[in-house]
Amino acid sequence: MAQKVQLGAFGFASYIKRSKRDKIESAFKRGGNWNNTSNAGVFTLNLNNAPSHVNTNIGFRCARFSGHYKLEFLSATAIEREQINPRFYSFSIHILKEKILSLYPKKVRVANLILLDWVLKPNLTESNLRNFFLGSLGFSIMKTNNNLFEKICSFENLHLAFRKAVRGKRFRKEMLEFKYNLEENLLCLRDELLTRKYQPGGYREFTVNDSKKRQIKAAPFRDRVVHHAVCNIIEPIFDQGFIFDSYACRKEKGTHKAVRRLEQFLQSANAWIRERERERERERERGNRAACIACNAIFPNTLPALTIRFCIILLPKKLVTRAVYG
Amino acid sequence: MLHDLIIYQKIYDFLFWLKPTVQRFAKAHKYSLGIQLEDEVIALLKLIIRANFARDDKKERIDECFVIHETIIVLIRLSKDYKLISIKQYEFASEQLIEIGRLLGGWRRKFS
Repeated sequence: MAQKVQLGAFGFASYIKRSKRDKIESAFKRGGNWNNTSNAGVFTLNLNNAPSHVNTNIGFRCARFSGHYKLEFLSATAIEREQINPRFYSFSIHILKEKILSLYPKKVRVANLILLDWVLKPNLTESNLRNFFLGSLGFSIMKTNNNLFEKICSFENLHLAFRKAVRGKRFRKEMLEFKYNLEENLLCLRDELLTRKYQPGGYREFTVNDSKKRQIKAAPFRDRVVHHAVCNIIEPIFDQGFIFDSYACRKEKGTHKAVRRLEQFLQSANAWIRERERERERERERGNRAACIACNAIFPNTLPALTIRFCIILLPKKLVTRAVYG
Repeated sequence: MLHDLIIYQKIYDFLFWLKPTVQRFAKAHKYSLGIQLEDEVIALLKLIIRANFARDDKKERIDECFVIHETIIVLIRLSKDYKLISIKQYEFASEQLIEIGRLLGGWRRKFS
C-alpha cells in the first residue's frame, strides 16, 4: 500500500512509502512546478515515482560528490552480484541521458555512472545516511531561528514580497487593483497576519492546453504576496542546509549547472574506464568490458529512515514560530 | 464636530512630520516633489476647515478632500519609489494617511 504524505502549503516534502516487506528503492526528485499547488516550489521532494520517471518539472535529482567520499565506479558485474534491480539504474532525466550518449556513444556501453558513491558501499553508517537525507531536504544545518513570524509580517518584507510577486505582470487587472490601494492592502495584510486572522483565498481554476491538458490552480494575488513574504525569510535558512549538488529551485543552481556538473563527473568516469581497460589489456584478461554505471540516487532500504514523524520533528527546530508552518 | 477635529489634528501631525522629512529630500526633488507634497497636505487642511464651516454643501466639500487625499498617497508612493524616503518612513506615512482616509470615509457617511 502506498502512503503519500504532504507537508505544509509551501511544498516541503512528499514521498511514498510502500509496505514494509517491499524493498524500498527510490530516487530523490527535487523541485515541483509552481502549478502543483501544495507540491510546488523550492523544497518539494518527490519520492512517489520510479527513478526512471521523466517529467519537465523536475529540477534535478540529488547526487553527492563530497571530499570525504571518494567517487567510486562499479562495473556491471558488480551490480549483478549485488542483485540490485537494474531498472533503477536507468537514467531518469532524459536530457542528461542524451547528453551522456552524445558524449560517450561507444565507450559507455551501459549509459550509467554512479554519482552516489555510497549506494553500494558496505561501510555506510547510519549517520552518513542521515546527513545525506537531511542535506537533500535542506535540513543538514540545524539552527533554531527565532522571531521568524515577526520578520515575515514586517511591512518592509511585505513590500519586498509585493515587488517580487508583481514582477513581470504589472498590468494585469488583479495587480493594478492591488497597486491602486497598495498601502492599504499591505497594511491590511500585515495586521491580519499579526492578529492571526489571515485566511488564504480560494484558488482560481482553469485548464491550459499546451501540448497536454493541465489543470492550473492560481492563488489570488494577495496570497501570492504572502507566499513571497514567507519565502523571503525561510529560503535563506533552508538554502544553507542543502548539499552542494542539489540543483532544483535554488539560486545560482539549475539544470544547466547540473548538466555541467555531470559532465565533470563523466570526464572523471571516462578517465577511470580508460585506465581500467589499459590495466586489463596488460593482464590479458578478457572478461567484461569496463562500464560505468549511472544513477541519480538510489537508496535501497533507506527510505524508512525518512518518515513523516521525522520531518515533523525536524521542522519545529528549524522554524521556531509555530505560526509559520502551523 | 468631533470627527473633523480628529481629522484636523491628524493632518496637522502629518504635516508636522512631513516638513522636516521633505527637508531631507535629495536636492533635485526637494523643491518640486517635496514642495508639491507639502502644498497638497496644506490644501487638504484648508479643505477640511472649509468643510467645517460649510452648511449645505458639506458632502461635496468632503468629496473634494478625497481627491487631495489620494493625490497625497500617490505622491508619497512616488517619493518612496525615488528612494527619497525609507521603507520605514513610507510605512509610517501610509499608516497615517490610511487612518485619515478612514476618518474621512466615516465623516462622509454621516451626510449620505
